[in-house]
Amino acid sequence: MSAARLEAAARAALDTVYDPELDEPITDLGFVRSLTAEDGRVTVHLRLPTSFCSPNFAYLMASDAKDALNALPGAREVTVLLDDHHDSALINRGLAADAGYRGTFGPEAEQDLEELRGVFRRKAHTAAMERALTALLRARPALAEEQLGEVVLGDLPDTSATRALLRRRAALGLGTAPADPVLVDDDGRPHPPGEIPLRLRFARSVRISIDGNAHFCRGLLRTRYPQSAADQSARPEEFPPGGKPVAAGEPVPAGELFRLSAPAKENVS
Amino acid sequence: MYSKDGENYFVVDAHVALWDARRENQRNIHGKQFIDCFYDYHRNLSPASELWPYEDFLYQGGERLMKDLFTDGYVDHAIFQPAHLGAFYHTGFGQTEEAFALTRKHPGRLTYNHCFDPRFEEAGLRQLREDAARFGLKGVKLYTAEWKGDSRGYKLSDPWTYRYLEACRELGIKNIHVHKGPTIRPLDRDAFDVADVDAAATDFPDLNFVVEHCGLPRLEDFCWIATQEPNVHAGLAVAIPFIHTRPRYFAQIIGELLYWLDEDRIQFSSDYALWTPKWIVERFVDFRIPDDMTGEYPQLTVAQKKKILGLNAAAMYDIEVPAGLGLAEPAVV
Repeated sequence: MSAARLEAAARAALDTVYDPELDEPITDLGFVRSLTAEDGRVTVHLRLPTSFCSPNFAYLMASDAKDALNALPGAREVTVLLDDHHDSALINRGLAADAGYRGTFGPEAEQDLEELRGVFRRKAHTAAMERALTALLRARPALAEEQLGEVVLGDLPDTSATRALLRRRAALGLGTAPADPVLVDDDGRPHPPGEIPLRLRFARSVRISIDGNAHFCRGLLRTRYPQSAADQSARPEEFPPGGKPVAAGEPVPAGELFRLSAPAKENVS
Repeated sequence: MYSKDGENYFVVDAHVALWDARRENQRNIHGKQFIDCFYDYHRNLSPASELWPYEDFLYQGGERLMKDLFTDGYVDHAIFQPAHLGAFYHTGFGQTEEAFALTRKHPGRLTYNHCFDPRFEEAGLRQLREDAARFGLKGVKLYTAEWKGDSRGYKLSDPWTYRYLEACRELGIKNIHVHKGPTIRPLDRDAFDVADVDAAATDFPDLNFVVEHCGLPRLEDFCWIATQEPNVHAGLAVAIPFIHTRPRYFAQIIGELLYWLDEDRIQFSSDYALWTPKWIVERFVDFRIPDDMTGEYPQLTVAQKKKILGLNAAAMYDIEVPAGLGLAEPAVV
């Protein structure tokens, strides 16, 4: 495989690696600092918004990146390095030795990270559900919050928000049939009718938390590494009315937070 | 006090620090990483006119603090919430002696809260009793992610923390400020998880638990706990500067907090010296929920702003509010 083709394949592989907390690919977030591919040797440097970003998530993203690159047919030797983190030395040693999570952190880790990953997968689903339902409420002013328990997947318009919800449901093993209810708990069960507004409200706070983290982390990365602005793609929320994306690197004074139908680029897969 | 459009606002800044992160006080690389992270917060969320040079950010000293808070910043009373961070800084990050001396020099303007660490077990308990007597403590600031030897943090629900909270109850320290930080042991849990606050708040209903940064980045978990536990409060440190960079996002945060908690359990704080209070107070008083979002969130009222900016914290700390600056109905704690 040529160097250029390997590099393109490596970049595409990194597109599949997600920040579990922000529910976005590390490439869109600007976390990939550099990527080189020569003679089957792939080297990736990752960067994060602060030195004190959670080491467990840092490790998770770095090891997921290494796994994704190792799966490429043309990659003989894969090196993933996390730069400028308070645990860089520890994490980079663990990655180089393929020591695994517990092998890397020793007694600081009790079990693997799958349970933690599951927590954030569920949050991502809850947020996607709220985005889809809030968009529906805005599009259909006659629809009351109390009626959302009756909304099924087939009622949702074909938008990126709906497609993102379907992917989140599939990731959790929830049904994706048109007749399946939209507003459900983590196990796919509908809520009692009296709880519908409260459940929507809670889902909204989950979505706001994730959005807020994403804004803050992206902004901090640009502050820490000004050159990262060019690598970041805008989140759907950062599109003002009219659909024109704002330049990364600029604070967004009044982006249309609830506008969900206009993103030019999918960044919730 | 801040006055605008015929309204007067009594301002309590419920989270300020007098820190020393200068190079000579940095114990290791982590001391530099920590203050650099704070400086990036400062640079990222401040208006351009309010940016400080890096050197100014490392250390301010008492004189500058008094000017930034009281002369320029409209603050009537400020509460120190120190983080010790002894693993990163020789004399700690928060400067206990300097801050306490300043508090004594300006009685009525400053309150000194101290910190404790339950991992010091019996010795720390004795120290807490001495500190309570010396500083006249009404509150403590807990930084659960603090490194100590091999440990990178603790939980409020740990048995030793409970013994310290029992001591707080006995010593009249009724306000427990909790800062969830990003590292904790074991690492396979979510470091920002606020579930331990739920347990402690249930078991110590006579103590107030003020969760700094209103639980961000886990706003939803915080709101879920706070709506069920009447003694859980939200500190706006770090959340409120979004009023400049992302006012529409701030509208959602404050809207959610008002929905889940009510207006009596939200406290203003600048988190000085991360940010200065002047511009935040001005922006907050001017702040309106954007018109197209009032379907989700009711408009903020002047009374709500007065409670958040000062009356809530004043009630919690028994700070006297001058005549004419309160509300017809007192804020409830």
